[in-house]
Amino acid sequence: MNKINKTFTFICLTGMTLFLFHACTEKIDIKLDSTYTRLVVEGAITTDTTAHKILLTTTTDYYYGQTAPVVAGALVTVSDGSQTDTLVEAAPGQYQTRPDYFGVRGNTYTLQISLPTAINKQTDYSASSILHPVADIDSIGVTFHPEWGRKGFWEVNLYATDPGGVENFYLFNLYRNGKLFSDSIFKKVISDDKFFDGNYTNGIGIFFLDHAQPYQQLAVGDTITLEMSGITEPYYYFVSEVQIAGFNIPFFTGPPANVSSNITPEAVGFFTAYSSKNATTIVKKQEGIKH
Amino acid sequence: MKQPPIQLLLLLLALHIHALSVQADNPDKEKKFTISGKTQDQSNGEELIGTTIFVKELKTGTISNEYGFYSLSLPAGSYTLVFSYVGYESVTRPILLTKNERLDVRLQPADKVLQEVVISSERPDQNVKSNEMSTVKMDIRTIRKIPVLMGEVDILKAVQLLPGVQSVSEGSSGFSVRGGSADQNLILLDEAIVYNASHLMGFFSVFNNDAIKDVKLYKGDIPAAYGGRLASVLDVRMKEGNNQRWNVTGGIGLIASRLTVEAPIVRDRSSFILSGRRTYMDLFTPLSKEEGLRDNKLYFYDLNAKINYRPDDANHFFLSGYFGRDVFKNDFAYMRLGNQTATLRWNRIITQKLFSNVTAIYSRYNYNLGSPEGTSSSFEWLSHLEDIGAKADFSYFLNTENTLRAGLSAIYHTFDPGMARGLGDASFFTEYRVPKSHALESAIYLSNDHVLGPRMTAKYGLRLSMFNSIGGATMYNYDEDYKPVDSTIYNSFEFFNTSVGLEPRLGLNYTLNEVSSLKASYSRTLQYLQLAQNSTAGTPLDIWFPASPNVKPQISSQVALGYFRNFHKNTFETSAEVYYKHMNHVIDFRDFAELLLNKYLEGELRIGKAWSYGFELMVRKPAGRFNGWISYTLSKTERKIPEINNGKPYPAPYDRPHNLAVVANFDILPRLSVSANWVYARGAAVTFPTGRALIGGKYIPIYSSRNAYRLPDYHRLDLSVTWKGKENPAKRFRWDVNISAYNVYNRHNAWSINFLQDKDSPDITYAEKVYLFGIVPSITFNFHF
Repeated sequence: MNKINKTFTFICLTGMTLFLFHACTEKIDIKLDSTYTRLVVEGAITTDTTAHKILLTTTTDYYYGQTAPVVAGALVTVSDGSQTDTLVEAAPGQYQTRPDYFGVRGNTYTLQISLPTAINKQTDYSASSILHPVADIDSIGVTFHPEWGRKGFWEVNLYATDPGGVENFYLFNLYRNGKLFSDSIFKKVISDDKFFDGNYTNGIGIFFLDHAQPYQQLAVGDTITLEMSGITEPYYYFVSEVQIAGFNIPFFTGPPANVSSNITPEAVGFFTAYSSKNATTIVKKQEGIKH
Repeated sequence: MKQPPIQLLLLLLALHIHALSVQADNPDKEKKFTISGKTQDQSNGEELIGTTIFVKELKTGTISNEYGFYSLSLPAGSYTLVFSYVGYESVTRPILLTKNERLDVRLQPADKVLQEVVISSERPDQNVKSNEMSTVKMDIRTIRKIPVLMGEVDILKAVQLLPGVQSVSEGSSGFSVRGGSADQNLILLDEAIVYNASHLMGFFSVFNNDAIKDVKLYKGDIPAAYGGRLASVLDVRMKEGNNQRWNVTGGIGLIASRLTVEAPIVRDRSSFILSGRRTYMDLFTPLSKEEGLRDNKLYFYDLNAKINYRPDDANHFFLSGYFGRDVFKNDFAYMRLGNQTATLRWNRIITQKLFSNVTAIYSRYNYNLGSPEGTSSSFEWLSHLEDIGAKADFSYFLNTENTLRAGLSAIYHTFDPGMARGLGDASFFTEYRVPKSHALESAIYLSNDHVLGPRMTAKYGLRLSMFNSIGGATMYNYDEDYKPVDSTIYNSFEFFNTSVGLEPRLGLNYTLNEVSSLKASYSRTLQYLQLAQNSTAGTPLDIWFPASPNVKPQISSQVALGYFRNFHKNTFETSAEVYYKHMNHVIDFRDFAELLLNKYLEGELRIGKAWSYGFELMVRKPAGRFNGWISYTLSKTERKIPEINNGKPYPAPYDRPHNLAVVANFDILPRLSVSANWVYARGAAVTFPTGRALIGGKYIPIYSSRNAYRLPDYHRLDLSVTWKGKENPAKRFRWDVNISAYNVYNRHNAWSINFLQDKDSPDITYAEKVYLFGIVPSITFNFHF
């Protein structure tokens, strides 16, 4: 979802909350059917030098209640167009490259998976993704808004220039004192450049942290790192769809639908490649912080 | 486009010629004269729609039209005319007809007890004798008795209690008629189209009941004079304003207050009505426990105004307008939206047999939202839709057997689907604009109400509609994968895409005996504008988009058959109808469609077929101390769209197989009455997960086929008690207090079911239901003087 839609969503939710102050939820037993099992693939090649991971699991019944079963013993390779690397199974279902592996801008990476036993009658799966470059970050900032919400909001601001004339897709991660804050796919921020193509972002808020939530509270002196990744359009839509699938109010979205996948033949999940840039700042003293 | 059978057109033509030739053949055989005039309410001068005029000697008659006008052509002689309108004292007038006569009649509201219990305002046997079917007229006094949410009387909620009509979701004023979607209803306020009939996310409708005179819903047998929507026409008429004496009506409720003033300007010749309503929920927000909510503004208001002037007995002018606004506002965001309509009408009695109505219409729906200037994310987002139109309608009362109606209409539409841009120097947003477009929607029609014999009447008509897309516009062209490939730019006022459609309408009534009849109807309707909306709970951010080179007009053909019978001297009215409806070029959207601020909206559409069939039963007791109705609908609606659900048919979002409503009102004492309604509906069709996958640390559902599951069944009981103040004939002041409870037994009806991951043990996923309302009590104080 882009920025304007998000702001709108916020307005409407405030409006709705205000009006429906007694709208309530309760657990309910709903009987659900089973469906056939599918392979679930997750992994990315980035410009960082690290052991890149590919995770293989399978789908289960909705009320399965345990960690998703892993797929062990598979042969997993990644090719950058000229060289093919075989991944090592570091833990069951978790396959990784050499630790000195890094992606190169402009390359197309292809993932090949060969399973020991067929899932949904298939043993061989593949997917590929190009690795796009990403613009530089000038700087980032952190602003506290004491008037927003109950105890105020922290806003992480971005100063960067979007390359004009091309469609760019971004994914943002936030680190606090070196620890990943956006630690699930729902917490990552994505944006296309539909509303600011070619513009200087001039401190647009990327992350908003609610000071009323203890785990979102920042403190003066914290080191904040914003990582900006240039992602592909299909991966942008994948993340966007996953976030919609996890956004549980059927107010803005249409009927629920399965999220897209670039794995063939039919499977779930995504294999992608992207490049990242980051910038760091230290939280300065702010007006109006309540504890 | 499939053409209607040519035989049908020939039949219609033949009937018209027959009607005219009967008249031409024997002009002097029996010299005929015309008696015509208007029927009005004695107490306030309001014209009465649907007064029955019965000629005792000939056992024939007619009913007055939307402007209270009637005309009868009879051989010379002396007759007794009986004017009747349920809820009013009948008037009997002997006349000696030797020349054309004008006779205006004023009916006195009947004694109070009877007046209060009226729920239908037509002749007692209208249910059986009228040649209309699939049509319901609701009296505003009936509607006021129905218990409602938060004490706000709402005609759209009342309409949802009728057979074949249902709410699109809990508490919503959006409704679905015979499997149609909410945007397939033509909602007219004094002939102007109301594009968004709801306030506050749909919980209230834009119609302030104090300003409304009459509501009529056509859900199948749509007259040829109406068109542009597939499923139904809801024709709402505003009061004209008391032309006898001044009046003030008002109400104070929990969330809103109303005030209406009406008065003559020149007695009998001219009067006005001015009516306003505003909610004041936001006055309580500073008391909210949530600090973040205290600065929120959230309210709506509406204003209705109408003025009429009758320079002489032949001419009558009306000017009416509606203005409504919803406002949400807080420190960092705002949203404003609303409808505006204006109608200028000229009724003219051209001759004793020819009545005309010429109308100029303006209608607009707009919204703007954004966040205030001064930050990098300041923006504004504007969208609007505007109509400028004109209509001319002629009724020709040829003879007692034939009433012809003909007319033409044209509407110039302007669509501005959305523009967003940064606000102020600090903002980083560039401007993003979805191109504007224009269109001309026009129609001509001819119809006849024809008495074919003592047992058989027919109503047949033909409407020819046309839709022209007009520049300046930018149209995008798409490949077979719905990806935009290039665009075509059309200059201002360049006509570039034309759709034409023939819309035959036919209705037959065969009287079996004094108390029962069989009716049948066929109607074909076209729709050239539709709403881009794919969630059942609507947002107010409506985008109406027109037929274009990429979007064909939607077409519906419907047949219906009904049996109508009255019991116990018209005390009970019953009807049973079956219908089958087939729709072509029906619109749905791709998965994860982006509808807002998207230039390539047309690429998000997926087009296919839909069909709906059903059985509807209604038992109604219109009068007496105990009155009310029971309506039941059994129906099925499916869609089939090649790219959705692997091309297999799936239940439409509004498919509710069973739907029951019981509405009852009991006058315990002259000053005390109680009302109740109970509704039951099978749960809406929804898509649920059948599996899950772990992605990015979260479980993502793997879904069933489209709409394969049902929400839990919906049912609800509402109750209300009305206590009236003592009436003192010496004083004009009247009051009543209404106490009501919505959802009396506090059922937690599911509005949606969410599937969630447990916070503490993330491998556990579970279902959770969201419900909007428990029991909601309310109190309203109404007054009139």
